[in-house]
Amino acid sequence: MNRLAITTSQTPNATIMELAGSADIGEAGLLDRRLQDTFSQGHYRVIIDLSRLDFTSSLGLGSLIRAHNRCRQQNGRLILVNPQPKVMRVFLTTRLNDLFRIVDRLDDALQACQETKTPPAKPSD
Amino acid sequence: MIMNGASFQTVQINSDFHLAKEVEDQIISAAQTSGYDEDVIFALRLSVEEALSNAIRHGNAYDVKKKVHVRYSVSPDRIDVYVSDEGRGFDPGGVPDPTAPENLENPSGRGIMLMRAYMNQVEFNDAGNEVHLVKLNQAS
Repeated sequence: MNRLAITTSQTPNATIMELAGSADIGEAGLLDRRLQDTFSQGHYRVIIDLSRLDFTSSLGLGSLIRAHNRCRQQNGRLILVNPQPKVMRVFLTTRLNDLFRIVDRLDDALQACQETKTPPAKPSD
Repeated sequence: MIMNGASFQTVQINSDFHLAKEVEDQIISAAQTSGYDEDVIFALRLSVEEALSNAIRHGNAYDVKKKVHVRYSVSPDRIDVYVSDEGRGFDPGGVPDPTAPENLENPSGRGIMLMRAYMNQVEFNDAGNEVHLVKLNQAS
């Protein structure tokens, strides 16, 4: 399994984080730290592209849930894009597909973020 | 170590996620060498990781001086993994259903249900500080 790699880019309407590799016990904390970096810049509209994520355990799910909760508290949103079938099965098994907005295409996520009205970004924490 | 005719490997680590990852990789490598398919490997990896994570976080409360004990056996027809910690144990029946709507936003509490979903057998000892995972080779 590959180590977790996270690439972050910024659009006018959202922060896009692309995850590749494995969100496993050896990488615990990395995703939390990257998300915290995003939040500390005041960005609460976050798209996480899972199309190259091979594996996640409940540790990775926990990071995503904390991020979801944080975005919601700040009137933002978090959208997940195109998980691989094995990863999607983890979402279905835990019923987290009921919590997260999961879309097939990045364009759909960007459109949803454009429709989300949020207050001007303010750094926090 | 020989138990019930199967040869078991025994590993003991301090409560550290990176050490846990090494043990997980060791078990996965043994399963891959034995020819288990990708779906079994994913299920095994997920379940072993949940067991190790629970032992470190909940059992040993991140106390690096406390050990996590692992013994495993990979044979052509089944994989057995035992993970125990040095904590007080717990009642697995007392864990709230993480799929209930009121619990979906809780960032933790999904380990046991994932193990049960992906393994053929998940059993805890009476003390609640050891879990036994079984994955059968249903292709054999």
